[in-house]
Amino acid sequence: MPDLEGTIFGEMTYPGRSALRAVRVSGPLSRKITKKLFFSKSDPWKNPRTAVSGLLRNLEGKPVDSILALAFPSPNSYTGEDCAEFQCHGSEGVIRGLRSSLFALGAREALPGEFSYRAVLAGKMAAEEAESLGDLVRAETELEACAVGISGSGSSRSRILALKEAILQLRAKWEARIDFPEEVPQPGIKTWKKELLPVLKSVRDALSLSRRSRPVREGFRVAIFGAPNSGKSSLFNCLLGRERAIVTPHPGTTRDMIEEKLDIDGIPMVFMDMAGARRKKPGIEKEGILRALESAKRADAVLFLFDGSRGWDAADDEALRMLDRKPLLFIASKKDLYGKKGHGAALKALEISNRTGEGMDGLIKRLSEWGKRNLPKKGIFLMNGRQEECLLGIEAALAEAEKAVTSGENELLAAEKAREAQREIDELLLSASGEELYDLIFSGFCIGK
Amino acid sequence: MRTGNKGTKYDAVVIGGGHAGAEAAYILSGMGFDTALVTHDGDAISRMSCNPSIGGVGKGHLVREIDALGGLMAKAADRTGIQFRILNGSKGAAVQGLRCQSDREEYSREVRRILAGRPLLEILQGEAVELEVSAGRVRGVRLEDGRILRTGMALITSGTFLRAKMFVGLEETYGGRIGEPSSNLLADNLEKQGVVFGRLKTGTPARLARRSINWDAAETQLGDEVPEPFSLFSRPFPALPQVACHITHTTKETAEIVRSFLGESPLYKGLIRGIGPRYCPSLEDKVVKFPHHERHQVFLEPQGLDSDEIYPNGISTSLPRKAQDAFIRSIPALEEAKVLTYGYAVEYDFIQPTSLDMDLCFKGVEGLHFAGQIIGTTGYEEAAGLGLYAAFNIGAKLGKKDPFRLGRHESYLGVMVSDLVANGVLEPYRLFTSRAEYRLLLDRHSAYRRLSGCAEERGLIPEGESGFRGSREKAFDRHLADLKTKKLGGKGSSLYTLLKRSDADIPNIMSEISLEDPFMRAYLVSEIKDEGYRERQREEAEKLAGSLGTRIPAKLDIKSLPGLSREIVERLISKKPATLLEASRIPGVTPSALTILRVEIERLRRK
Repeated sequence: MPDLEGTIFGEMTYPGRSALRAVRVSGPLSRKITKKLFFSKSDPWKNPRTAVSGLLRNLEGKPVDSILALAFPSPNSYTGEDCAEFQCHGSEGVIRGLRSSLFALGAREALPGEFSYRAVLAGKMAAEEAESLGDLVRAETELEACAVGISGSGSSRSRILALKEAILQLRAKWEARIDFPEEVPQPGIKTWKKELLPVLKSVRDALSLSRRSRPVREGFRVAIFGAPNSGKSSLFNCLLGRERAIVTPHPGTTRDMIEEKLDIDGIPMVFMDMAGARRKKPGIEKEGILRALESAKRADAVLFLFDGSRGWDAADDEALRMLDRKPLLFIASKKDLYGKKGHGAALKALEISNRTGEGMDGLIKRLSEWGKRNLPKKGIFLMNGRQEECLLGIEAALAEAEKAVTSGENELLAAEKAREAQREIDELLLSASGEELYDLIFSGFCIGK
Repeated sequence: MRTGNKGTKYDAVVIGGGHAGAEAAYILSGMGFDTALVTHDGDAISRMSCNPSIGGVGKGHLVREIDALGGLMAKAADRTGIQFRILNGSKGAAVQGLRCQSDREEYSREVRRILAGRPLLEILQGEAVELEVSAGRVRGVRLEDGRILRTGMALITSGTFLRAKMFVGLEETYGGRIGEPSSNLLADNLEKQGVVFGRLKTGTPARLARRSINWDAAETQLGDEVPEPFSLFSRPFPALPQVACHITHTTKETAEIVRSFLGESPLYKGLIRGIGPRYCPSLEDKVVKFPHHERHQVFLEPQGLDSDEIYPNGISTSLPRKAQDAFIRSIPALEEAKVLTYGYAVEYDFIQPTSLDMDLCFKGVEGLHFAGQIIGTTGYEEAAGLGLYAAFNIGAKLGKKDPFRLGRHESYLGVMVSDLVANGVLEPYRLFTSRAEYRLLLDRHSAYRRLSGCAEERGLIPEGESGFRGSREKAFDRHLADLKTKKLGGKGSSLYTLLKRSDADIPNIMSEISLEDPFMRAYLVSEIKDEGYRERQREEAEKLAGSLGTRIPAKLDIKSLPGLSREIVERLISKKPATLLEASRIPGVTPSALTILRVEIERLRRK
C-alpha cells in the first residue's frame, strides 16, 4: 500500500495532442506548490473553486505557459484534501516540465485510482461508487462509458442484486429444511437439485455475458495477418494515422508483435501487427511467426492481407493454411500500384491503398458493422476483474453444490457451498448481509411448534 | 462458606435456579468453589416452563457440548427421557440433532439430586433483592429476608422473572410462570447499578388432560429403535420406559375461531410491547401471518410417564380462556379435550448481551455476570450452555486463570456467545446450525474431542483414558487404523478407501471390523466420508483466525475512515471489536471492510 499521507499529482486529461491538458494535485503540499509554480495577481486559495488566470513557471522562475489554476481547500474537494488544478495548453513539453517541477517539490505521481481511493477514505464516496467511477474514468469509448454507467445504477447492478436474491432464497429454503426438520416439508434430493439449477444457470449466464461484454472494455482483438511484405504494417500505420510500425520494402521487417487500441466508430478494437507468415523460418523470425500465429488464432477477427498488385500466389496459400481459421476479411493491398485492374475483385477482397487511403472508409465501415453485430445482444454486462473473480467464486461454489446433490445424498454439503456463494456475492457487492437469511426463512415458512 | 457477623461468605452466588443457574452452580461447585444458589422455590429447580423436551437440531448439539464440558444437562436428560429421536437422520451427519421427550417432574428431581451431590453447593430458598456494590464491584447479595451473602462474584440467571407480566386475553397478572411471582425489586436494584433493560415476550400453550383426548384420531410417532443418549457415558440407557408421541393438526375452523378472537388478543391489541421469537410464534401469529396455510401441526407431548398432563406443542397462545377452549376443540382428537391450565404470554425484562463482556460480565460492575434467558435467549439448552460458560469464566477469575474462550469453529457454544455479545438481539435468540460458519467441524460426534480437554483441566471430568475424551478417542483411533489396513474379503482397496466412495455399502464395509457401539460406528463413518470437506473448512477457519488476530487499537477513529459504508461504521462503533477477527464476525463487515481496517491499523502502527 502506498503511503496515504503524501501529496500526489496526476494528469486529468488523456495524454496526447489536444487543446488543453490539466493536472490535479492533492495533498498537504498543494498550497506550497501553487505558490511556487503559479504567478497571478489573485491567489486561487483565496478564491476557492474559481478559475484564476496566471503564469506557470518552472523551478527557476521562468514562465512556461499561461494557464488557469483552481484551488479546492480541504475538505471541499474531490479527495477531501487540499487540491489544486492546473489547466495548461496542450503541449507535451509543458506537461513534462510541470511534472518534473511537481516531483522536485515533493509530490509523487498518483497510482491508478488513488484520487478516488482518497475520496473513499475521506468519506466523499462509497467504495462501490468509486469502483464504478474508476471504470467510467478509464472508459475509452463512448460505448464503454454507457455500459459502465449502466453497471453503476442500472442493468448490471440489478442483475447482480437479482442474483443475490436468488442465492438468499435458495439458502432460505435449504437452511429452513435443515434447521427446522419437523416444521418444514422435506422434499427429496431431486427437489434440491431442481431449486439449485436455475440459480447456477443465471450465474453462468452472467459470467458468459460478462465474458462477451469484455471486448467493450478491452476491445475486440483484430489480427492483421498475411504473408511477408503484404503490407500489414502499412495498414496498421494507416489505421493509426501515424508511423507506429517500421515499414520497409523488405519482407520480414516486422518480427515482434505491436498492438494499439483504436476507437472504430465508437467500438474499441485492438489491432495487432505481426510478422508475416511463412514456413521457411530464417532464424530470428521463427519466434515472431509463432507468436503471430498464436495471436491470430486467439483474435476475435483476422484481416488477411495479400499484395493486390501481385495477385494471390503460393505464399498467400501457405499463410492461409498456417492460419487455419476463416479470416473476417480478405484485403488486397497496394491499390495505388494496380489501380482498377486489381486481383481483389475476383477474390471478393476489399481493395485498399495504405498510401492514398483509398478503401479505408470501406474497411472501417465493415469493421464497425462486424463489431456491432458481435456485441452482446442481451445488453452489456461489465464486470471488472475483482467482480468477475467473485462471480467465478460463486459459480465454483454452486457447481460443487450441484455435485453434492447429484452424486451423494448430501444436502448439508450443498448448503455449505450455497453459504460460500452468498459470501462471494456479498463481497462482489461490497455490501452487508446480516439477518436477511432469517428474515426470509421466517417470512417464508411457518416455523415453530 | 464462612459465616461471620457481616453475613455468610461465598466464592460465587448464583441467583435463579433455572437451567442456566443449575448448570452454573454445578460447574462452580465442581471446580471447588463455595457456591450459593438462590432460588425462590427449591422444588422448582430446572423446571421446564415450556415444552417437556430437550434437544433438537442445534440445541441437541449444544447439549452434547455441555456434556463434553462436564455439565449436567445431558446426564439429567438421559436419565429422565421417555422418547429419543434423531432429527435430520437422512441429512449430513453434522446437522443430525438429538432430541428427547422428558418426564418433566423427573427431570427437575434429577437435577436436584445431581446438585445435592455437590458438597460445596448450598441451595438457599429466598428472593434476592439487592446487590451490594462498592467501588464498582460486587460485594454481596441481599435477600428479601435480610440475609446477606458476601461474595465478589454474582451470576444472575433469573430467566423471564424480572418484572414479568403474564397475559391471558386482556387480563394481566404479575409473575414469571403460572403460580410463581416475578422479581421486581431485583430489577429496580440492577437499574441502579446501570443496567438497561429491554422487553421480550414468550408464550406457552394450554395443558390438556390426557384422559380427555381421543388418541385414536391422532397419528403416532415413535422414538428411535436404537436411541442415542445425549451423554455417550450414560449407563444404563434409556433409564425410563419409552413412550410414543402423537401428532394432530389445526383445521380451517381453528383459524376462523382464532381470527374471531383477535380483538381480545393482548398481542394484537398492543398490550404486549416485548418482541417474541419468530420461530416460536403463537397460534394467533401463525393464523395471521400464514393465512393460506390450512393446517398447522400440533404435537401432543406427554409431560411425564405418570402425568395426566399433555403439552400440545404448536398452539401457544395468549387468547382469552373461552377462545382457547373453542379453538382446541376444533382440533381432531381434541374435540373433548379438557384444559388443565390455560396458555399465556409472558413479557419480561432482559439485558442486551452487548452490554456484557466476553466473560458475560456486565461492563459497568466488576463481578456482576448474567446468563440464560435474561440475556435475550430462549430455550433450556441455550440457557444451560450460557450458565456453564459464565461459570467457567467466573471460575477463571476466582482461580486467576486465563479467561475461557471458545472459537466459532470450535463449538456451537462459541458461536452463540460471540453472536450474542457482538451483535445483541432483536428477538429472543435461538441457536440454529446455520449460524455457524463451519458446521462440518461441529458435529455431535466430535464434541468430546473438541471440548473435553477444557473440562479435564478444571477437574470437572476424569482425565486420560478413563475420561470422556481419552476413552472415546483411543477407541476411535484403533478402529480407524483397522479400517485403513483391512480389506473387504481380504482383497482390493482398504475399507477406509471404500467408505469414501459415494456409493459405499456402509453396513457391509463396517461389518468387517469388530465394533459393537453404533455411535462409534456413526462417528467413524462421518469422519471418513466428509474428511476432505471438513479439512477445507478447518484450513479456512484457521487461516481466518491467523490473519485476523490483529488487534484494533482503541485510538483508531473508525468514523474517520469511511471507505466503509455508514452501516458498517455504525456497527463497528457500537460493537467495538477488539480484533479484526471480532470485527469479521459482525454481520455486514465484508472482507473489503476488513482490508480498509487493516490498512488503517498498519498506517497507525507506522506513525
